[in-house]
Amino acid sequence: MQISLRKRLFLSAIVVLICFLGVTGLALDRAYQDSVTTSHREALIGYLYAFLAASDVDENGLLNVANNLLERRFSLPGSGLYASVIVSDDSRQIWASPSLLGVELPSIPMLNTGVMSFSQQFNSKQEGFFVLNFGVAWQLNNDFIRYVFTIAEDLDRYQNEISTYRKTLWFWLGALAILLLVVQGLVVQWGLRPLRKVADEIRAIEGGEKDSLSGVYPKELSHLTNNINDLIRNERNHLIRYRNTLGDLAHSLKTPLAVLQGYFEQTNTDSDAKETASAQLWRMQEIVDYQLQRAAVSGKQTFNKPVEILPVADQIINALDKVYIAKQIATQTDIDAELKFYGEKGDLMEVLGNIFDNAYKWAKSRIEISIRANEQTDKRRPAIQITVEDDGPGIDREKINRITQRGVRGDEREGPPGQGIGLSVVQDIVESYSGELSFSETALGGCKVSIHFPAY
Amino acid sequence: MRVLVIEDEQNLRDQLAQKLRESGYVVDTAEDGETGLYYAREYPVDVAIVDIGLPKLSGVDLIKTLRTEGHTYPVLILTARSRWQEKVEGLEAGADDYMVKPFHVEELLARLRALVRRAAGVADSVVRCGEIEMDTHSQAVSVFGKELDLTAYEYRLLQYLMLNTGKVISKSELTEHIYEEDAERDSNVIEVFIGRLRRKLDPENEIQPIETLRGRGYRFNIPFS
Repeated sequence: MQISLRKRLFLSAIVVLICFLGVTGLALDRAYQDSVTTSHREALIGYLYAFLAASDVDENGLLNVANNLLERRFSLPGSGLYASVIVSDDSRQIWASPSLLGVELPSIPMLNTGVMSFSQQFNSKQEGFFVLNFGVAWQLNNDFIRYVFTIAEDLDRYQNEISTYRKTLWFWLGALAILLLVVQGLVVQWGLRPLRKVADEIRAIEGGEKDSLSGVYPKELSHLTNNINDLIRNERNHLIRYRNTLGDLAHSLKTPLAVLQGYFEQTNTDSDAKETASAQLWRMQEIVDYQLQRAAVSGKQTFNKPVEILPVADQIINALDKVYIAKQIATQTDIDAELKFYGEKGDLMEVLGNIFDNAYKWAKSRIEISIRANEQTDKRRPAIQITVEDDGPGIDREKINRITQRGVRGDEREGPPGQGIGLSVVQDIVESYSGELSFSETALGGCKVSIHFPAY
Repeated sequence: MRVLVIEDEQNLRDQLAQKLRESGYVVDTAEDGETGLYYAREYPVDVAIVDIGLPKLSGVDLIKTLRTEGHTYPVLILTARSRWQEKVEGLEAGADDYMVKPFHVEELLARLRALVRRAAGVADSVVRCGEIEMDTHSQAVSVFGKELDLTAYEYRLLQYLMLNTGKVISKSELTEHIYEEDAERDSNVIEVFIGRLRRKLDPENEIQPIETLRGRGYRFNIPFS
């Protein structure tokens, strides 16, 4: 089973969207993280300078910080913004902001004077911080004391900002994806509409409502539809040509044969040679007949118009009523008026004509004909069941076997001459439609011919 | 009985005509549809044999034309193509029976007899009028169960009269239906034949089957039984 075009287009659209929007989202996310990190760094540097400005070291080497000059958050415990100062030489903390109460900062590296480092770090409890360290040297009594000033900020704010941003970002990207998929769906719908139209038209042709694909199609499809139209036309013309040629051939062959036959019948000498010649002549005529009819059988075709069965059956019954008027046969019919034969009208006529004619020929006074759809099917073309019963003498077993032998051509089915070829032709036509022909006995006393054309 | 054969194949036409004449028919032949239609309109035809594939005017069209013009005599079609489509078309156009070429002439003759009888309203191959019995197949006639010895002309005359029982038939009509075109047409001959026929049918003058209507013709007076 091939994946449908619609599914293919839809799946490829989804893949493209996922790749494109995914990469876009990731890039935007990354860029935003970078910019937020940078802004936090800038902020920390600002705090650092303010802190440096507010700090002073007295003669004893103690650090005095003018608290009132500092950002208020340094004074609030747990505010998330922290400051500390350590002496470089022995890592001794000489000052810590009140906010640092109960908070452990990641370990602080020793830095040379004037060196600034900024990074995201974690303490032993795996709490994350932005940490800005700055190496400072303070001159005291001709001596330099080196300190490391640290400003730290926990990641809560940063993470809030990022997650808010991510929510917004992915919401809008999702919305965009849905919008694009809807648009894509509409485009596919629109783009595939001509194909659907072709399918509808072909269905209409199969249903006999149309002769050809008549719609206007886009350039890419018009080649295809033109070809289909040619195919349909060719199929029909071919059949007509074929049949006309065969008809002419039949006509031109049969009249001379009839003359020959007449000649043999006129010759009064009653010799074996005449008998043999006459019998062979009949055999020849039957073979010609049979082959011509067989060749004219069209069989199941794709683009056939369906034929309404009832009018054809009525036509044949009326004709036969006329021919067999002297027999005064009561024909009872039960034919579904809606039923259609999806095949060639000529084939249907041959089948019905031959089996009805047989019934009329053998019946004493009654014939029952039934043509109905087999109901237990959901196929577009229902199965057709044809039965013809008569009250005649019934059909010869041997003949039935001969006729219904599968795969044996009518002219090869051995039998006495003069048996006629009608039922052989019927058998061939029925087979060409994958149908089945069978004979059985009937309550009427004669023969019951059943034909079953399968649904398809 | 006068039969019109419209068939374009000369051999077949000649054979048919010969066979039909041997069987006691008066035969007219035509070789194409137009001539055929002319004869069919103008001649006193009792039954016609029409080939479907005729030049100039097709058999089906010919029959249609005849029927719309009100000619009701039976028509048998000959068809080379044994497809049902063609048979049905011919019968729908107004033909009464069909035969597919090639055919046995004997069967054609039997069908013709049946058509002629059917046109007269008799289904059986034996026509009975009172005590007179005519077997159209063997062409034997018997009265009171005793077979008569009739000549071909007498048989034809009696068949025509019997199948038209109750109708007045003029001498010229009788002549047309039992004589070939070129045969001698002397109305006295008819009178002679009628006289012989009466003597053979009714030697005791009991049943008086054939009535003479002076100046108008003859009438067979015993209805079908």
